[in-house]
Amino acid sequence: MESATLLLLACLASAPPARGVSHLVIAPQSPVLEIGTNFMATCMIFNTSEVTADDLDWKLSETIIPKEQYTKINSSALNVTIRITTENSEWLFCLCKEKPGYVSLNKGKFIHGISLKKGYHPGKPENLSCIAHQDKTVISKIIMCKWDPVGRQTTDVPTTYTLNVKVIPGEFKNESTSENSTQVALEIFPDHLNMEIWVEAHNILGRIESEHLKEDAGWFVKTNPPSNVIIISEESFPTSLLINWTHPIAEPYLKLIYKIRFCPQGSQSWTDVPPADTAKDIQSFRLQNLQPDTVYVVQVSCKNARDRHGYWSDWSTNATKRTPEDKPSSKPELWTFVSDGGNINEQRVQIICKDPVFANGKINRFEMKIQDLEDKGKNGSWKWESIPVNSSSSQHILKEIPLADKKSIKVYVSAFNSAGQSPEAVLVIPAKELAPVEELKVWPHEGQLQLGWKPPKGRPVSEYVVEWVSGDQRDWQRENRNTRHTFIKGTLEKFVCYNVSVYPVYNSGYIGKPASQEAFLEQDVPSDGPTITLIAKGSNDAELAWTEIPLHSRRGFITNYTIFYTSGTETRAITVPANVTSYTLRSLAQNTKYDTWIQVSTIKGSTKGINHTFTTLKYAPGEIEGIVVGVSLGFLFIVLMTMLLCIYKKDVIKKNFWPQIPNPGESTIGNWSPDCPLKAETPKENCLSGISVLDVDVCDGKCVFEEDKASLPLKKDKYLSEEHSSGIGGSSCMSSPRQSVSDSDEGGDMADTTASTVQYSSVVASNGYKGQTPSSQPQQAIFSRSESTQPLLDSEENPDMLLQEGSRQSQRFPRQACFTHTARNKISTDPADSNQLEMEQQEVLEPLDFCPLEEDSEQTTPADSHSADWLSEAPVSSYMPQLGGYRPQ
Amino acid sequence: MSAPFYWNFIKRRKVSAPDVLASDGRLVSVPPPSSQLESRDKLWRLHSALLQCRSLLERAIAKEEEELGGVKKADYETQRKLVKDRLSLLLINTGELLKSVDGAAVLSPSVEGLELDGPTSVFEMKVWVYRIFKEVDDWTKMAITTLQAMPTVITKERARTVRARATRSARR
Repeated sequence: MESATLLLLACLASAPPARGVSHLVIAPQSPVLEIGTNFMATCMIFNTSEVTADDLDWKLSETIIPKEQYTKINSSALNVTIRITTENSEWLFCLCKEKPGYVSLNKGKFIHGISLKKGYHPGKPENLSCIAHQDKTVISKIIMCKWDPVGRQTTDVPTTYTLNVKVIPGEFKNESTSENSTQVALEIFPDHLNMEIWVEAHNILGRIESEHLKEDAGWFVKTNPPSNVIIISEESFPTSLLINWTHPIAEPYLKLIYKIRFCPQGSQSWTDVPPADTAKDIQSFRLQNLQPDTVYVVQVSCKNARDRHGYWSDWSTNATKRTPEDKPSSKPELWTFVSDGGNINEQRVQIICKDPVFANGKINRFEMKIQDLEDKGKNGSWKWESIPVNSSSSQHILKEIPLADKKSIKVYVSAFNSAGQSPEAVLVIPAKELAPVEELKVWPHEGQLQLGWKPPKGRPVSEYVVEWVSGDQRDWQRENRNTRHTFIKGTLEKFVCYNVSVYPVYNSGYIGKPASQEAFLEQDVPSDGPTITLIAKGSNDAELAWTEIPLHSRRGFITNYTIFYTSGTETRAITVPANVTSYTLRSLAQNTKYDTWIQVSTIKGSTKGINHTFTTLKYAPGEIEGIVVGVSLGFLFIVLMTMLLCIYKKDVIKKNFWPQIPNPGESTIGNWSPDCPLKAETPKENCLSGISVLDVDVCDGKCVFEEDKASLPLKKDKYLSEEHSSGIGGSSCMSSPRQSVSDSDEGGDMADTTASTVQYSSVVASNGYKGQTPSSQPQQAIFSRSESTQPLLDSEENPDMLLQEGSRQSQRFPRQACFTHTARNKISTDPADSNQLEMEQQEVLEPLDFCPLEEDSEQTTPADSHSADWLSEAPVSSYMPQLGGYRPQ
Repeated sequence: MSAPFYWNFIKRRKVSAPDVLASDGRLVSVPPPSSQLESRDKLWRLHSALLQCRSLLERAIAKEEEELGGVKKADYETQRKLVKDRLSLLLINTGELLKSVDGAAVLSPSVEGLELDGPTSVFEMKVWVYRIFKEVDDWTKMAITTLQAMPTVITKERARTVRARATRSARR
């Protein structure tokens, strides 16, 4: 190395420097260095005397190397020694220190650098293994090898692997790669010859070979799996199968040994045939101790028969075959269930059976006999009964016995297949209950339902039966007498409630009383929420009820219900236990719409039910009834009080409402003579206040009275006829007959009381009250009166002149007033007559109303156009003057 | 043309052209077998015969390529090459055996007396190739027999040699 460096230096020194070429040169150029070693470089100065070795510095990348690592060879050569530690490539520079003059002007000529490439020495490849697969009928000529690389490599110094394959004696081939596996293709696979295989790792820093594999070519062989694997089943050997196959490769190339594995179809748990039995050059094998009537899957593999030579082939493709049937080798699985026929009287015990575990074929019938233990004398119960199996169900109901006639019975059952009969299974259903197991616990664990219990005290147990029921699904399994803890081996569904029971079975097959518990394999939130029904509601409360969630919807144990209700602003929640299905909400607002729903919870969460909306009542029940009854009672009380008042104050009322009206018929006016003095009386009847009485000229009244008196008989008739016609109509009509009567009757009175009658009032049909102002056209009033349907007085029928007419009209009231006056006089003189007259008058005038008359009088009063003085006062005191008018009378 | 077809063809022709096959003589000429021969000589005889077989086979292959080059016969060619390669391997091994037994130099193939010129017509060529394969078949079977009998002998001989050397060294 050193001599080479010196030689290089000599060459470089002797070479004339080109123009512009650096005065410094480093040797060696482009070195490849092994990491972890020391490296020495030399920097030389040539063709200049400007600098010496003392002026030089070494720099690695950007770092000046310490002077301690320098070695001065002579004035123009300087060595440096560095340790290669990092993997990345670096530049090593030799440069001159800052110096004025030529050096500083030609800096580029006083620096030189080399790139340091670094790497590792290749590691010795390990674990070389090679394989030659079978190709068609021979072994392939391609040898594939792989190895584990050792050591590190850098990108600057990559390692290459060369696989060398040598046939001894014979050809030699190799193949290079940078990977850790490759293959070599030979001219022919060297059967029965030795081969030497090794791999060499090499890079620029060195090379190293792996261990040499020097083996017979058979060492590397991996053949195809055995072909044509056939299984033969023989009727006379139900537990055996014969396997045949052919060699995958001709025997001259390789002698093979085999291995076999098998399993029942559907299972992935392979059973290996002991290698000692099959590690031979064989082409058939008999599997034994198999289960009858079971499909088995068999696979075969082969390998070079030479010890440690070759690789096991892949397994052959599955060969399947069913073993022949054999008679059942175990008892049928006999058990009983109590089937609920709807009510206790229809409960029945079902004797149910599953195929024996080792049915060894298809069970085609069961034979059963039932022995009545309390009636041993009878032979009838000892007969065997054959029950053919038609369904493919795993459970067969053999018989149903009514629970009502439950006695101690003993059941014997045997299963049959085409090959024979199984051992008998025996079960005793005792009449009295035997002790159950104690402290049964059921809990889910890792996808299984675990059970634990303690044996019943007293009698020894021969076995236990674990039964689980969910809806229509029911199954059971047997556990031996020492079992205290097990799990349910059947397929259980998640989120389904199972009723798990453990029955002790005592000696001779006596079934004990079960211990039961409900359990879920896994719980979930309920699938449906409860539906609310409103049972009753009031003004402040509401009773809600909900149906229990169906079992299949619960999906877990219900922990509680939460009732939510809201009137829109605030939502309230009430939690009730799982066993509650109705609740009364209180403190509700009256006449308010409430939304309510129920949330049902399991340990996994909650599900909300359907909303129900109701509105609270405005009144509480009975409130309206109370009000009605109260009002009714009050009304009744008032009515009663009124009635009593009427009864006790009859006279007062009568006087107030039905004033005494003298009977004109009995009036003494008929026999009135001028001699008979008239007595003025104060009118008693208020109603009569409606009659306006005016003092008029006596002469006029007298004249009129004279006329009337003369025509009294006629008027009476007319009066009667008037009565008939008075039924025509309403109030206006009622007044008319009255007027008519008064006209006719009063005529006589008027003759005395009023010598001359002045028209002071007239019926104003159109104006009425409204026209209380004195009529400027008396004709109109007269006209109105003339249109009346009332029969006219004789004088009216022949009006001479308007004034007379008006005078006649005006006479009515004065006449009436006179009549009244007269009547009163008569009452005062002859009360009996007066009463009689009154009675008659009542008979006739009872339907009459005085008020219209009063109205008329009020209306007519202002119509008096002749009494200007009067009129001036009329609006203010139309009555008073009238009443006052009496008094002078 | 596939090899089985080829053989069937030959067999059919056997009946129609007995004259060709009637002049049957061995293509490989070696000293006659004798039970007196030592294993070394047997090995030599075998090796010599196999060498001749390979020479014939190579010649036949060349001839077939020359005559039937255009015909697609991949399987046949593969099989033919396999036979030739195996024959070469056998030769290498018998040669190694000879060296280990005798220490003599490897024999060069003796082609004396071989009908290397071959036939002139295609049919004759095929009959000739068939005869070559027949020789190969016979001599490889002979090799099996010879070699299977050989190891014990060699082992014994080697054991005897080793024992003699040991005795000699002991005497010294």
